[in-house]
Amino acid sequence: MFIVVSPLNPDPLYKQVADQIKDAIASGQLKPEEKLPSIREMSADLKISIITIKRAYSDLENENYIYTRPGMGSFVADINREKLRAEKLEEFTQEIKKLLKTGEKFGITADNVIRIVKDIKEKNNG
Amino acid sequence: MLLMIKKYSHYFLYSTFVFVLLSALLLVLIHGSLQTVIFAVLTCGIFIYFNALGPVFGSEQYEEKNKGYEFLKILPLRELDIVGAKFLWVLLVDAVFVGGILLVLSKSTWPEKQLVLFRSLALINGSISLLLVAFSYVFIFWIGYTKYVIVVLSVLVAMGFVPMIIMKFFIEDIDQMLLDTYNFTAGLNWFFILPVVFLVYVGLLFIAAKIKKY
Amino acid sequence: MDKILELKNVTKKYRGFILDNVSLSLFPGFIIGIIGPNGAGKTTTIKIIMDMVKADKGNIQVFGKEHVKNIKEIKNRIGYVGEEQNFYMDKTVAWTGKFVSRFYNRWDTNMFENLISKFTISRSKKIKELSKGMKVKLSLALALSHDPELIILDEPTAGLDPVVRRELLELLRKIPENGDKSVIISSHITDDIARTADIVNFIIDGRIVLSAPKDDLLDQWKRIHYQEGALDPLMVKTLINRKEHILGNSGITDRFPRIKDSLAEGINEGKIRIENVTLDDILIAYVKER
Repeated sequence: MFIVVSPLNPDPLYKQVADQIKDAIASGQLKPEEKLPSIREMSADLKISIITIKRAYSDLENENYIYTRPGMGSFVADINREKLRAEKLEEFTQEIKKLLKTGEKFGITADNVIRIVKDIKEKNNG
Repeated sequence: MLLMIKKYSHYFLYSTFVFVLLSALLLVLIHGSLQTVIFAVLTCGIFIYFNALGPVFGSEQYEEKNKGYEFLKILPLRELDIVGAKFLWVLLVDAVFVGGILLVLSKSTWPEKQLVLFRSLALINGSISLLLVAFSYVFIFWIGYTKYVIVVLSVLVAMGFVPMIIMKFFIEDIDQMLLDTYNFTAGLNWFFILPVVFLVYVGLLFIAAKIKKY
Repeated sequence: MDKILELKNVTKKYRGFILDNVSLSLFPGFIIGIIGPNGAGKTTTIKIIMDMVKADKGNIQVFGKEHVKNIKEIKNRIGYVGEEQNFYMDKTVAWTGKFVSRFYNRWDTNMFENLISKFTISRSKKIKELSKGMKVKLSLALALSHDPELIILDEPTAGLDPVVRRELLELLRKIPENGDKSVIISSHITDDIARTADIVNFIIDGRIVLSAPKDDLLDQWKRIHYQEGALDPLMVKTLINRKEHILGNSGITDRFPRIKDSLAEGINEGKIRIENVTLDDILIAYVKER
């Protein structure tokens, strides 16, 4: 699992870690029932304080992305992919809103953006 | 404490060895007159003091040079363990010397008066050197080894003049002086004095440990 | 979980300096960093914990026990690396290891030998032949080889070259890996602490002015670069260390998560930029405030 925390990302560190684990789960990189590295292993590998890792794991557990068995470790939950997709879609929607708002100032319309998306789609398919 | 006892062993055993060597040398030089040797040892006092104080100088100088006490402070050791070990060794060495001399005296056939005098001198020297060491440690832990050395050397030098002064002023009455000394020493109640000396010694041990701590 | 260490209202008066009502708690499995300028009281605090200096007032408990009364037992469970490393100079590394081993209940000879060889310290070398860096490593080897529950390091990187310094910090970070060991590190080099600590304590002028998880601090303190007018004037007033410049202004905030949303628009429009700060920046901000 590849987790990189960015100094440019204004989100709190624990959230960055949690988000990246969520992404790995959503994309299938981490499969259901797969065992996560222990909090200490994670902390040592990433060189991030265990308090932060603990908090990330705790949040993930509260949101039902992972579950913990005492003495055995933390495991990826059998997450509802649909739910993840819906969450990501919501994230995308917000980002697109921001994008459009920025575009407005430069005279870039929503239609311009739709055109760009179509072009990209064609290029990818071709 | 046992570990510290083991640590300081070599200083005291070394000085004991030196003492025995020097005494043997003296014995040879004076052509086997044990009486004279013992007399020299006792009235000089320097042997017993040296053997009590010598290791003190040696070990404390070593500790000062290496900042040994700073090193030991990290270890699970009480001050009492360290100081207690030193005091125990000095007591042991002192007791062995004095005991040895008393043993030799008891087996000898010298005149009663001389025996009494020698016995007393042995005990006096033994007691004084014990207390000298105890006070030394209190001072060393109080003002530091280097300052202590300066003070002691000054005192010893000054003390060196005392016999000379005594000789100069009392030379005519030397026989009287010897008689007075004999009377004085004969009258000492050692069953009382020795325990007191021991108690003062132990008291100084605790004081030294307390001062050493911070 | 029981606290491994607790200092309550510890005070120590020196001529010209007071360690004033210092309180500190440590739970097992964490690395605590104590940062502060030189002379702030870091070493004094640590020496009080090690009973090398006597506190005038205050309550100290280590491993849940009364401090001074049980100091021998407590020291058996503490590994200590001081600012200076004192050893008997004419003795060898091997002798030193053997000497020290006898004082501890849980000495692990294999561990000591492994650490010594990992640190490339020759067993037969005399202490006087060792460099400063090697002496620090030897101290650490001795400190770790008796299975201590608490490891205390006072300015461990002082006098070390950058390579050795990095190695040491790497090593230290790994210590609490099994969750049963805790570490206290003090340093005036904030970068050391930033690399290793879970919880950070700032000590300035004999007082602990801040105690918080390191990542929390780094999440809450950010530097905001903003164009003139892009920030609400009231907010500008709250910024610390404000700098104004033709090309743009900047200031440090200590409550970023709370104001993050109000900055979102400005960020989107490119008029506001957020930058992370270092522990040094935070410490300096505290020092300046006094």
